[in-house]
Amino acid sequence: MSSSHEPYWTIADGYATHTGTGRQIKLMQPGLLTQLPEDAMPARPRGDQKERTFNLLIRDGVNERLSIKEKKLIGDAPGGAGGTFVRDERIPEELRDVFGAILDDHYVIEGIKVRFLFPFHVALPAMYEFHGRYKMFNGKILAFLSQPNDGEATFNTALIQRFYNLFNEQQDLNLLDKELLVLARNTAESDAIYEASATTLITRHYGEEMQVPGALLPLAHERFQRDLETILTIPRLNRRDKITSAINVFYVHLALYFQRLAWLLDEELAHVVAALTDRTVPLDRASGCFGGDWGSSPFAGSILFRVGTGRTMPVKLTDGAVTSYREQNRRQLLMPANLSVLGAAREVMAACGIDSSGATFVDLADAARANPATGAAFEEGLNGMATATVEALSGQDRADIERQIEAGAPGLSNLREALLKVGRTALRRHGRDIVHGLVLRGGRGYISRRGRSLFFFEVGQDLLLLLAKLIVRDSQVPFRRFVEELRCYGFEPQSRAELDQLAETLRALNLLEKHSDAGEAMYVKHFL
Amino acid sequence: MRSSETLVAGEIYSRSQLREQFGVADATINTGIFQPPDHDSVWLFVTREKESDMTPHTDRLEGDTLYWQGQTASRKDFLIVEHEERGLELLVFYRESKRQYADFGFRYEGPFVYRRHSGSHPTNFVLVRARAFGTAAAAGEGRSGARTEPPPPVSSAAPCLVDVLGGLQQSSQESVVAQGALTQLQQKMHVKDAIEDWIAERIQGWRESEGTRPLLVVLSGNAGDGKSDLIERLRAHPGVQGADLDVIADATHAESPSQSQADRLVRALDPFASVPRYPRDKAPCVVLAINVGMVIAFFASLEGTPDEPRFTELQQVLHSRLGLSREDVLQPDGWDADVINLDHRNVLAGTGGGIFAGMLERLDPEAEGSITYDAARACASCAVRASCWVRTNLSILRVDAVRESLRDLLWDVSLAEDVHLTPRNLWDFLYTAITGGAKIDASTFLSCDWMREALPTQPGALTGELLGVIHRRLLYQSIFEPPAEEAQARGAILDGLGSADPIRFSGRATHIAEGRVRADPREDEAELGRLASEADEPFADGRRPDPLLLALASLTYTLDMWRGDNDSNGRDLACGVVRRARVTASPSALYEEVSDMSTQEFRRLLEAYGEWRRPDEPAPTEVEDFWTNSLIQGVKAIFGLSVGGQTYFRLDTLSPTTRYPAYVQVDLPDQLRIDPDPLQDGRASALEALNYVPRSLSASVRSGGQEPWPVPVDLQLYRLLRKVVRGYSASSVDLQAFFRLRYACERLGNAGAAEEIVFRAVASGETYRVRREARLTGTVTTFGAVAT
Repeated sequence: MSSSHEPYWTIADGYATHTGTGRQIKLMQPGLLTQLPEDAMPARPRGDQKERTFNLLIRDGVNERLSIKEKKLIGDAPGGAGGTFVRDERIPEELRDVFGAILDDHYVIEGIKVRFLFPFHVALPAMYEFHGRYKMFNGKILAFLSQPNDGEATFNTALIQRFYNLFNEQQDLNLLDKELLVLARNTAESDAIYEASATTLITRHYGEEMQVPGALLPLAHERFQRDLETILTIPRLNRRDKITSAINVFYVHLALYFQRLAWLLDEELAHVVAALTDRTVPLDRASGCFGGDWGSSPFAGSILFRVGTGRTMPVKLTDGAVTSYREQNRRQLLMPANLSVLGAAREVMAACGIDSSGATFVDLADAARANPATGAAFEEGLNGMATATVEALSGQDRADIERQIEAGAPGLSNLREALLKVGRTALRRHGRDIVHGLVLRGGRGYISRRGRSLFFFEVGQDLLLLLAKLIVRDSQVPFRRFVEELRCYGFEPQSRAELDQLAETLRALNLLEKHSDAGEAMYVKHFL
Repeated sequence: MRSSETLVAGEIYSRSQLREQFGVADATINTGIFQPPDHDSVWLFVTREKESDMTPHTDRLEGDTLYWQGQTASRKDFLIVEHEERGLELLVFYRESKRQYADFGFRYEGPFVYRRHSGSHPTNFVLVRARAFGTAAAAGEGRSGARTEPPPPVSSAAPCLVDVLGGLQQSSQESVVAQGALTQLQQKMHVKDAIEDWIAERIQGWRESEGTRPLLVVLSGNAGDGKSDLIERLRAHPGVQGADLDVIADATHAESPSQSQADRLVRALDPFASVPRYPRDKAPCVVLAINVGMVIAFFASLEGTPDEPRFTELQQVLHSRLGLSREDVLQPDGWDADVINLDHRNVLAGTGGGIFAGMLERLDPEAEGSITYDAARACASCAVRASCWVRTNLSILRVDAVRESLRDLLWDVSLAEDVHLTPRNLWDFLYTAITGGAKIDASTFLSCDWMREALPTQPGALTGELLGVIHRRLLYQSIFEPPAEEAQARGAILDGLGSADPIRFSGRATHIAEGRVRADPREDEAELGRLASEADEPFADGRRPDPLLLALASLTYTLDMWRGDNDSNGRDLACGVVRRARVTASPSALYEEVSDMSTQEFRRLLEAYGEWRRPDEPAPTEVEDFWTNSLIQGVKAIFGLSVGGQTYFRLDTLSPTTRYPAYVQVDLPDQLRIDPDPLQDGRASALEALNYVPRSLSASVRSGGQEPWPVPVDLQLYRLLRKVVRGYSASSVDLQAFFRLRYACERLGNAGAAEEIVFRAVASGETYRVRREARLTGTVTTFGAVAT
């Protein structure tokens, strides 16, 4: 942080103070996502069992909740041993184990070394807490995605409440569901009536004033809300299917959100770094990342997929579904670092006296280019952070960063390199593991694998059925437009043959109709 | 008035000059072919060397002959071909290049006459200078105002039968009805049906009621359904024409280059907007021909425009009437609408056999005024008649049993293969079935000339190769498979018929008959002779059996011809036995074996179902029987699980169960319903006029949601259910084709609040039950093992 001019920053005790504004920044970034841009990521998640996220979505909406260990009810071994599942006194003694095993089979999710109760009714997550530390999202993510509301800076409380009502109501429960609830209440010794409410959820995470955090990707939030609303208003779905579909909308959107964010951040940062390195490079392309519409976003069509037919099909390393997964994965790994850089860079720019709340890399670069002094202070601040971040690392790591700074590389890329050096081992946990946890395997996800390391994008029939409903809703759209809409979500068939396969699968699902217009045309229409 | 009266041959005229001289305001003068208003003239503007912005047609004037390509869309070709019948002169304005003359002018070459044409989109025309052709249309004579005489025929021969039939092809110009111009062939092809009168009466009734509400009549349907044809018939219908009638014959067409299709429709449909922009003195009747896709595209194009809210109500009405949305929208207050979807017209049903029967009548070579009558008369004296399969096929088509059987087969195709039958694709099918297709082989086109050259006058002189060519093109063969190895695209109907080929479904009797004929072709002599007698035709001294079929019968003795090197003729002859049985209903033992009884049963069921109009009316017995004996029993057998003599259905819970799947009893008659065809409600009269017969039964399955799942029962599902109730065990592969049924029925267990759930332990096979029971002390839940 030395130059011929008066220094922009004074450094003391690990903090840099801007000489003009007097505002401080912490130089050493201890790890990834410590500077969290809350309009992009409401928490610092790590990969975990997705069903637990769902549990907390509901539990966080309950005001007065108990904290009884689930183990007391479901036991600690398959079959319910050790819990009241196998000790229900209403059941003849010789059949209690069988009854417990049935309840266990129907209501307990078995994970790797963990087992937990499926929250099919609000009373369960309201009374019981699952065992162990949980690292992914809590209910805050639902509130986060439910804003802005129809373009207004408020939460879509009506949508959250409609979603909660699915779990609050009791009339569509089957006999076994009801019996389990009786047992759960008896075990918890609680006869309180539990209800989840949107207000409780929002105030729990965003305070009594319900201050919205803002959204770096508002269109993704709006599409999530639209899609959840679509599912919740389908009159033909029974309670079980409605819950299953709502859960899946949530998982798929959350995974897509991660992928979209990773893709665009990396894209934007690359363009901005190029523009900051060479001032003749315009920022137009970078502006399209977060500023464009849904269809023209660079993310559109970046997930090349093949259609899962239920049969085993060979996969080649050169398939678009494989290569695009790899590129997505590369960006996903970089996302925690890119996000941290964005958070830190906003802080540096704010310390320089420029309002940077909600700023993208382009906004920051614009501000740096507009005023040479601001630009220089911004660069110095970021470079100072980069240097401090690697201070405790080996000499080689420090030398790498110093060399980059001396070579005149932009502070944004220097800081990212520094963060990658300190957080490399955590990259996977904060990005890829979350996406995998949400959508890997099964007909409802869109990532498949062969062996241990070959991953690729594959959209199965169940997900296709859901996506078709979300896109066409109660109308029908030409097949070509349907494909364009899929592209907006990020999905694109990996080849022309796959496009045909997509049409064939839709036909097999009774979702394709033919009407003639100027030429013969296929329309996608949903029976849900 | 004729334009040639005021034009001077050899002079240079620019378009602007012509515009001024003739007071033309129409922008289409800028196109290559233009008909000035109130003139009996068509102006052709021809430029030999095209600029980059011009359509690259190949046009040239060589002496008195103009080689000229029409418009790509071929919309105005009829004006050229029929200019003489229509009393129009063709005036040619020609230039070598765009800049050859000042002001982009053209040299006026004078009147030309049509000589011939070939190809399509664009059509290649040959026109000759009228003077050179020696007709009264020559420049000087033309000015006298005398009507142009037709040129002498190119050939003095009668029209060629193959050429006449060529007009029936889907790719022919005759398959598209041009606005205001029905050709002679189209007049002959027309088969009247009741919908024409129904619409005419509707318009007359609207007019007589002197109502002030605008009336919208929408003619919808797929390409080839006959919308344009119907419009032209309506135009000519007494009592329909009037100043208050707006006809939009082609919704995909704009009226000027600057206008889009949507602009035109917005203007035309203005009376039905919530806030009309163009007030009228009198409420109009708008007749609009528009296909379903265009309806969707039109309203999609309005999204986000100021017109979108104005047409919301219209969109709701049209979408609901066309089955594009679920809402049942009531008639709006300010206007009336009738949506006639020609997709619902059943071309096989109706008085006298419906449109298809009428089409066969139009093809009858012995019916005066028919399409083939003139050409077929010439066949009587044709030297190769005894080898001509085209004329023979026409004769076979006259046999009542063949007609009836063909109708049955088309029903099969329409129901089993989901092929939509339209007048256009039926004509195309008939063309291919009669001729065997436009090509003999990769490089030879079928024509009467080719037949006269290639076929022998005596069938006895046929080579084995020619015998194969002929036999594979006889109707009973050609409707089931392509006559040539190199498969050509034969259209949906013939592809569908291919899968109805009796050879595929042959049984014991069929195999025996086939084997016998293969071993000894003479076994088939009597059957061929019988068909020859049925397909007889007039002769000087009365009627005689069909000469080609008779010749084939006699040729069965020439074993070498049938057996040959690769035995293909022998195989064809043997196949022909069963295929003839399917088409001609004989011999009866074979016919029974190759007939698809389930199709006939299903047709009867559909016909009965179509009579059921309202849910509060008792259902027809056939429908009741199907519901109880096939639908309920079939669903029970496919999706149910038998426990202790009772049928249970899978109850899915939210987590995937693997060890103790749950099942509940379901009151199937309550959850599985059949409702009257939703189309029948309220619009019965138009549907009657269309001879509408439902293609499927409207069943529904309740599985716990607020609304039931609609599950149409079509022929394929009907067949599966029938098989299942007879003991067939449906596999998951069988169910792949019925995704909607599977989706709904797999959820039957969630249909209601069951008071009992049974669990089957996958590992041990033991069954347990949780049940709510009424006791003296109140209702209790019990759990126990079930003895199975």
